[in-house]
Amino acid sequence: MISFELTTEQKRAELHFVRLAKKKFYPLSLKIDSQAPGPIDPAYLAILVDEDLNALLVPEEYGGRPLDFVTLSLVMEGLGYGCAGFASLYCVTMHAVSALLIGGSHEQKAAYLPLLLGHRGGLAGCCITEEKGGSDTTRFATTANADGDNYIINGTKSPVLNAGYAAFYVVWANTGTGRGRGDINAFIVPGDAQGISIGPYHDKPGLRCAPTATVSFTNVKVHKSDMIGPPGSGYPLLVQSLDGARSLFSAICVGVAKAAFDMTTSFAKQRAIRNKPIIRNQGIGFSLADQATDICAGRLLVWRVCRMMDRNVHYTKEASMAKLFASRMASRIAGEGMLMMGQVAHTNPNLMAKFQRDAQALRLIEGTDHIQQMIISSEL
Amino acid sequence: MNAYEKIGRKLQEAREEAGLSQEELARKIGCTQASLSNYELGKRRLYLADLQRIGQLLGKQITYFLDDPGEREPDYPDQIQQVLEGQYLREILFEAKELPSSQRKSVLDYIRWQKDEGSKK
Repeated sequence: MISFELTTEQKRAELHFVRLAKKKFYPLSLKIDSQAPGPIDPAYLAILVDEDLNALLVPEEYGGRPLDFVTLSLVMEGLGYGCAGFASLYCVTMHAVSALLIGGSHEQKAAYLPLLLGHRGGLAGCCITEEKGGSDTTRFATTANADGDNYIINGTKSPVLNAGYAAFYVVWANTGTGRGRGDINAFIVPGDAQGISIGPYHDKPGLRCAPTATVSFTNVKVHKSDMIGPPGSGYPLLVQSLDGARSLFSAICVGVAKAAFDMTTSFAKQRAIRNKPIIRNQGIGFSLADQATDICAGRLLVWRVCRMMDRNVHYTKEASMAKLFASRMASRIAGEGMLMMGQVAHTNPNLMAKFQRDAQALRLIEGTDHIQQMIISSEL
Repeated sequence: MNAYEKIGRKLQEAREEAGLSQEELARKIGCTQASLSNYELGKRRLYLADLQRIGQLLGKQITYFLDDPGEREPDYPDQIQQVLEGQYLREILFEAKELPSSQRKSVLDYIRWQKDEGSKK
């Protein structure tokens, strides 16, 4: 029997992140969101260290204090409540860490995971998408050609979150003729490896607090021991680590939806027309009732997939269901918030407008709605 | 056929080549027969640990399941067309098509044995 009650520790974490959102994230995120594209704001890096967030991703034997995935989803939701951009930086770090945890050797974990801990508070990046490839993860133009005991990586990945700030990148590349999935492999590449260059930061409508850039690899040399898993592992490793990342990005979507909902509800209780709060109008009240119900449903989908991750059972379809539902929901609730708050939400800088733009961007990250639908339908 | 269906087809071939039923392999890898069937049909994606365990049990490298020979040999259809023009070859192919993978392998072994015997004469 599954309990849907949060533990005392989980409730405390939930409250902590709501407070953090109001005290730190909301003022900071509005400022960063309105700036020109650029590096990650130092204040965000400081929060990462102060909250010791990376420790929650790393196993104890490598210096961390990991959470189960259900509790981690509450952390992601809380961060998403504060700023979806910050939460995305953190979630991508989790994606890179999970690739190492799934397929990496003890030596690889011991060498790289501690780089994320303590005062260093490093981030990690995943280099998957290529400009010409889009969502096609079965073919990569980026190559890793064997050269004695080394591989030489050449290619360009874009967009990459945490570009320029990653202590290490997990890079998916093609080691053979480029005509089969067996040629796809993943490598750990130190962030300061010779031959890596970071392109200009991308200007984008959503997730502006999570800078993305192009990362180019020019004759980047890595040792063969930097390959994650045995030769040919890259494709199943990508599939599994993407499923995990999708599940946690779904939690961020729930956080954004909840932030938009709380703001709209608060507004609807305070704004009165003819001495009656507008929430008493059925057009507003019923819509908020639907939103509250959707948020509950989204949360349960996230908890279900995270519980499956904790039990180490197969969760591809469930991860895509959670991502599809939660990202659409966040986009819809923020959009309705814009409508209900009217003129108040249409003056910059404005959090509700940021929620809406961030929610729309979240529908693309780790696979668009259509990709999630393709995955779900393939498993029916 | 999508990527997972192709991987599933390879898994089925490797299992039949090893002479194992779905129930037998499922028991060895610790999943249900229904789950294994879904893997073979491409209805469920195989994770890295699953592929590693299955590969070990069936004596295959991970690349065996992931390589895509159709894409590696673009001239294959032309070669097949030439081969089919030989006497009896079309019939052999159509008869073999009805056999399960393990028996096709037996036919292949027999053909190779015949060739070896022929070369000794």
